[in-house]
Amino acid sequence: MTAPDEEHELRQRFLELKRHDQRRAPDFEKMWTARRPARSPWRSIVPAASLAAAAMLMMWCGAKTALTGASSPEAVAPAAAPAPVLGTASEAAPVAGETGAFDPAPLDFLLDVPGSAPRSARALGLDSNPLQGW
Amino acid sequence: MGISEDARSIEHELAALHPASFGWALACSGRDADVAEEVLQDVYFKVLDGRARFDRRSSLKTWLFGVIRMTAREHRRWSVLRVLRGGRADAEPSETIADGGRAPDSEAAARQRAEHIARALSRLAERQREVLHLVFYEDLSIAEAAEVMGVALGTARQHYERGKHALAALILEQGANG
Repeated sequence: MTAPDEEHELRQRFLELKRHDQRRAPDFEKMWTARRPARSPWRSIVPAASLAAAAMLMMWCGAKTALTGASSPEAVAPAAAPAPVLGTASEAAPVAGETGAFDPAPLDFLLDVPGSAPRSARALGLDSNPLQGW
Repeated sequence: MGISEDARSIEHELAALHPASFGWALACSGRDADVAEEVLQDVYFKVLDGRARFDRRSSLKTWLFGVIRMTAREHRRWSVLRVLRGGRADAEPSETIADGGRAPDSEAAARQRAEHIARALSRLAERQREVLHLVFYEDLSIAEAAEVMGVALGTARQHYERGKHALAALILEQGANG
């Protein structure tokens, strides 16, 4: 089929479809003067509930951050812990809160270098040589 | 021109466009006549209470068709919620039900041909279906169709060309299958 033939054929087909549709088009006047039905409560409930849930989540996250921040020694007494000197961070005695924060992953042992202290020991400040291993 | 006069002129134009608007609402609602009517009713409500305002930056027809397209999309989204609430799923088009009575032979043949093209259209990609409907059914230019669809002219032209060949092939295939 050539392009003009194709277009002509399609126009004819669409015209038939249009005639078919127009026979069952509803009355304009009836639709234009129809009264708006009562708005479904779901249309306002769903967005409102979503907003409330998001707000609660944000409040919960904020409260959690505030609680953990307040319980950490840095937040309570930032001047109490001396700032670590460059290069001797691992030599500094671990602060009470830091040792508790170390949480080794199950596969952390794979990262250990043979001949050096295990990572868990380094994280606890037991590795005395900062140049060895890491 | 006063506000009421302006509103009355828009009402007259909408009345003149009503059959075409219903055809476009049908195309945007998977050819379900009930959903198309709901969509169009919602569009008129939007026009009446000012949620959809014609600012004369385009022709009334392209603006109205854009509103119909957006409203049909909203309805599709809300129909998911309706299904979740156990309501009607809008899954079965009411096309065959609406024309259920006995029709004369010529009318039945015309209806059959219309159903053929509707079926072939339903097998096209959404954008192709939209642009072909707007150009061939609504007599819009490709540029106007692009405006209604909210796409670039080049994109609309590409969908038009591809869709036209695909639809012609589908019609031939249907003809061959009887």
